[in-house]
Amino acid sequence: MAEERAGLGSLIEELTTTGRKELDKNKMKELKTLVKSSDDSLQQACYLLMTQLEKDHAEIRRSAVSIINELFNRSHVFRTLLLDQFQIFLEHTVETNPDNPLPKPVPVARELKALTLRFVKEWHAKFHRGYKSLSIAVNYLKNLKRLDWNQSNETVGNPAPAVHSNEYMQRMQKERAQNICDQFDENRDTMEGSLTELENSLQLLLSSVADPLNFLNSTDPDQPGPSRVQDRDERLRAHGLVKNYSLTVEIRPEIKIVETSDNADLVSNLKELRKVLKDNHLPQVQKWLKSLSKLHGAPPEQIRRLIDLKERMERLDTKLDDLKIEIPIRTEGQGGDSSDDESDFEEVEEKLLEDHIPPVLRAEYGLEPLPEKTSSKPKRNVMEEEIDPTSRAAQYKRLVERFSRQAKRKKGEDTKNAIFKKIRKESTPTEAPQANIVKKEHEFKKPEPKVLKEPKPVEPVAGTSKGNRDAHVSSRKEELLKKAPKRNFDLDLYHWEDEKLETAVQVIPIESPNGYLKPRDDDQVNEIQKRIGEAMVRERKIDFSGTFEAVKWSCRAPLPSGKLCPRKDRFKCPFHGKIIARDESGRASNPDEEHLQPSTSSQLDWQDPGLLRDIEAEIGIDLTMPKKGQRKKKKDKEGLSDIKKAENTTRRRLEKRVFEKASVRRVASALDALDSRKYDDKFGDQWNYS
Amino acid sequence: MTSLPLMLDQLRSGCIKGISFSRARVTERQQSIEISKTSDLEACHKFPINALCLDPVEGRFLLSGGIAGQIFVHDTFEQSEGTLPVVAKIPHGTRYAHKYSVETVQWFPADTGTFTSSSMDKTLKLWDANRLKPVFLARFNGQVYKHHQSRVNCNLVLLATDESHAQILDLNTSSKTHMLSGAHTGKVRQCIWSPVVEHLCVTGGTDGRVCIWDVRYTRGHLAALDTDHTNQKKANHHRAHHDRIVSMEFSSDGLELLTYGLDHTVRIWDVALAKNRRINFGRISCASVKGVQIALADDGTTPVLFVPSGQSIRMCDTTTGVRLKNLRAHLDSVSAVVYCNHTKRLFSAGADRSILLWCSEAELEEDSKAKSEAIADRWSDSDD
Repeated sequence: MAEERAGLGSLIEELTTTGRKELDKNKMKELKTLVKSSDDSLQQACYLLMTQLEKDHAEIRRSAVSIINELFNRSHVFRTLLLDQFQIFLEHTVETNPDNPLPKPVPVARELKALTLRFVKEWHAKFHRGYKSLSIAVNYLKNLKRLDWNQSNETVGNPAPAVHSNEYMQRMQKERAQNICDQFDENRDTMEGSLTELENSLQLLLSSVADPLNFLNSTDPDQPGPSRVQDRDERLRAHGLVKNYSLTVEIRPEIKIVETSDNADLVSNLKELRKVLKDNHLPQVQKWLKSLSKLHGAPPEQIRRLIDLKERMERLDTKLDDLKIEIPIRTEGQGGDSSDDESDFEEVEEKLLEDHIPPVLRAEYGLEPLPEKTSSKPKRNVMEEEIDPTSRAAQYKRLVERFSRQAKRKKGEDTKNAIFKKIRKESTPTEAPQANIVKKEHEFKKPEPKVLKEPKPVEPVAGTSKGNRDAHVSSRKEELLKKAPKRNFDLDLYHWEDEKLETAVQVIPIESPNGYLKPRDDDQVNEIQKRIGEAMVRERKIDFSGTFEAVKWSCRAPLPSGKLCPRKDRFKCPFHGKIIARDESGRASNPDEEHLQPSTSSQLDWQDPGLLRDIEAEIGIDLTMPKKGQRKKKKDKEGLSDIKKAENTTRRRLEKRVFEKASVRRVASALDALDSRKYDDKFGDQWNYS
Repeated sequence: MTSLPLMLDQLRSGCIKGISFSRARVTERQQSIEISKTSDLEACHKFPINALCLDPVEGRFLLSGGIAGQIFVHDTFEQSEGTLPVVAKIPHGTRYAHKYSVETVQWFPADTGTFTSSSMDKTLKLWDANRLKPVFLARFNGQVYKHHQSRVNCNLVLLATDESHAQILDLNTSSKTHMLSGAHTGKVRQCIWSPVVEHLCVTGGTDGRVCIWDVRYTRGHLAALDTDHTNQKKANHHRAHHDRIVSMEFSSDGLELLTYGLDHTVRIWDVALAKNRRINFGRISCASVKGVQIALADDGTTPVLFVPSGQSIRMCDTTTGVRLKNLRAHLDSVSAVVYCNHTKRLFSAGADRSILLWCSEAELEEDSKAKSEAIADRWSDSDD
């Protein structure tokens, strides 16, 4: 009898610790024959199964439930026994008691729940006539809020968690959407307020026109119709132009506003608001919209409102992009007469400065307003380099100087006059009290071939002098190009061997029109600035000119886990060698190629399996080595998944470190030391109170 | 126990009285009580049930109140396809229903025209059972954990309102007439009228004290029950239980009082002497801290006590304290049991939202084919 009991115990133990879903059929049969013999053994089996159900492992419980199902379907005694403690059974299988949750692993626990529910349903269908408590239990389970009774209708396993997580996700999404909507509601007033303010100030600035874009459009010339052609010809003739003269003018949809003392406040306000709009509001709204588009459950009217707001913002933003606010340039000689100006400019060695401009850019520089270029950085660097007579820049400078002396003689006063004229023209304050809208006409001023002249460049009336200069500049450019030194290598190579870089110091731009202030002394130069300056000459950035092509294939060599190697290398996988074509199961479609792979197992002579077998037979010892990285599996929990492994998360490991006794003590002592030092600092010299 | 034919013989020959014969029969039935296989109560509660009460006139209508404030009435006589139907309902959240958990429900002791219910929303309602509307409402300062309407003077309601004193409400004048104070250091959570003596009542508190009061006696309580009858001079050291009292019940003759405490014990007291009967029921584990309803069936040869203990109902012999049975069918903790003297049936309700019917169906043992099929063993040949 005792033997039988022991057998029953071990049998149930074995059956429940396989960790598999299905029961071992042979063992189950054995169990049934054992149990069938007497009611006593049934009782014993029931008791043992209930103890297995209490084990803290969902897989054990799952197997136990499967065994219970087998026995329940067969024996009346077992049914009564189980139904007597049905409450405990349910608590351990379907989590009727929230204080007693199901053990890990979680997916198996979910499965266990669904499986049990399915079994209970089946039992109810079969036996509800005979066993009252079964129907009571079913009623109870149906009413239980914690449990989804209908869940078990679906197939056991996957769908249940999906439903759960879906519901959860939906709830979460709704919550988050609501959160965003709340935030939007909170900030809507401020956003719309600032938008309106922005619109209004824009309206004020551009009070002469209703809509700047429309204004531009209205001034655009229409397509010339036949009657218009005639008109146009006549008009051209009146101006003394050729009949088929055509001029291509590139119109930029830009609106220029010159900041005056009248509109300064307005403009500064506009700028401020625009900054807020660009930096805060627009990105915020975009972020909201982006996250709302991913979530479900946001009220549509909220989204619509949000989209409207975003569109309004973007419209305004593009409008503001077109708007160019110009600060009138104030030169030193502003307000003085022209002769003063001239003498000033002669006095200041402006020419010298120009001479250092690379000849390629020279023409362009000549036309730019002078004060603007005074604070340009690269030029400064060149200047600093010039201090060192051995440097390349200094030599370059010498060359340029020689050239410029020649050039100056030729150029005469012409260029200078042109420059001064321009400055004077631009710096005269505009008469209009409100902002002036100046349509860009720089096509005429700029030497760049924006103006296409056909069939032969005809000098516009207004730009005669400039045209002269254009021709002059281009001829000079050619000369310069002839004499210009060739640039052989980059700056970083040039400084390759220099241990110390004295010149490579980045200098803070100095707001001064002449730009002739020297850099500060070395000892004053910030260490950081030095380093930045160094980096500029030490480093070179070369952009990758080709286009990146993503690797579309993966290695797909079969792995020991049964999966395929997911590495995406272009030509060669570091583990599996050259990438070759493989079929779905990972075998090489061309078997010859596979043999080309480097074989990792280079066997030594003594490792010949035949030889080893012979030796084994001789000495009777198992010579097979344990495989690398494989440890002996624990025999007792074979088959069951390791619950503790799942617990070994990064967080756990970190916690282990952080909350280790020693480390906590260390931190505490450090904090204590800090405290006591603070105390000593404050009161350490007071002795009356101690 | 003597067999039925022998007893019938004895009865015929006059050796035993008719009353003892019937008592023996009742006891026999009580012994074989189990969950009813033929009938059950219509499921209506969506929330855990707190209180039960059978109507005292014929034991027909079963009142039940739950934690959401819902109250239902089952007709336990009428059966349609094995189900005892609901005849009246006050679902939770409706206009007249209690806002919070209904703790006690009680039929008017004289008829089924009215019933009272008290709740955690600090009110006591007197309901017209036919119209299902409250006809009187009394408000209190504390949650009403228990109320009891005297069987002798039907208009007096004793209330335990979570204060250190119990209150008496007179339904005639609809005013609070008494405050039974000065006896408890904790809060009064249990109270009960004597079924026979008009002015006698008992209160039990969270301090484990059980005090007997005569409501005419102005100087305080008559006695505080003490477990060990130690000759303590100071009466306020007397404790009936080591933990709070969760239930009290008088025997039908009013001579004995049963108390059930959170210290997992049941004690029987001689009311006249205010002494412990010293009957050991063993440990009856108590899961509820709020209060449960125990039931005493003293129509058999020996009185039988039904005590809810966790998810099961313990059935004990009160003369010896022997455990007769453990009634298991509830799937959550049981909160109330009610025994029907007329039909010898037991009703129980609990947190699993079901009211279960327990009775002896030994006589009805109709061996229908379907049932025997349902419970038959089904070992297949392949199992050998």
